[in-house]
Amino acid sequence: DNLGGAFQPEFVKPLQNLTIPLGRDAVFTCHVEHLGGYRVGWVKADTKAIQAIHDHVITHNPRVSVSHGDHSTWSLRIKGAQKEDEGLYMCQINTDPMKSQTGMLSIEVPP
Amino acid sequence: TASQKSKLEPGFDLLQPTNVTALVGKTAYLTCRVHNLGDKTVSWVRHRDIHILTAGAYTYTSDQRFQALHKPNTGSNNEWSEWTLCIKWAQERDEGIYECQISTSPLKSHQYHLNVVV
Repeated sequence: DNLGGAFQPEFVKPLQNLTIPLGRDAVFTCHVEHLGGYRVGWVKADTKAIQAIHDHVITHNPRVSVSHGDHSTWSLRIKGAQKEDEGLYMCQINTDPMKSQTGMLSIEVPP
Repeated sequence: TASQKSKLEPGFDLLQPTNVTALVGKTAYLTCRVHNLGDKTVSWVRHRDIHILTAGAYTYTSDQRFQALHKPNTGSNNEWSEWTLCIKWAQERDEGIYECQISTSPLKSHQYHLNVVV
């Protein structure tokens, strides 16, 4: 762990908004640099429901999973997205003060 | 029986006080008591910035003043546990709404209002 490292974690690019057809997978990816020993957390911002911390899924929504490519790309996947998954998602880093960014998930329902 | 117990849904003890007043510089305690938790997790979130504070016994926030104290009780008839959010050296900026969550889908949550007075 590198909690006291010279560099503080930063977001490299904003979280993308997603528009997904009903039933397809939605994937948010949070791009960070200098994460060190800090951890990425995911929250559904409108309901404040914690989704995951680091590589550990908290919610018992069976369609939610997390993965990370290396220490700079952290993804939240919602498999077979449903209408109730729509809303604002937040990626946060447990710095002090905490850093966060949000992206909107919209679900397209066929007419 | 055991099979009946496993079907019980987790829930909150709604008798716990949710309007809590703490003194500046002292430790604030927000007590969340849950029944039939099973394999779910109890977490604390601060509403002001939607910051995850704790998840189970794990402290996520780097603000060292926060900690979740766990008191289990696995009595045969009435299984419950307490997850108390402790905020050391409470400051006026800590005032606001804190949420205790059970990680069910959909989420179950219970809100607490913390007042900090001199």
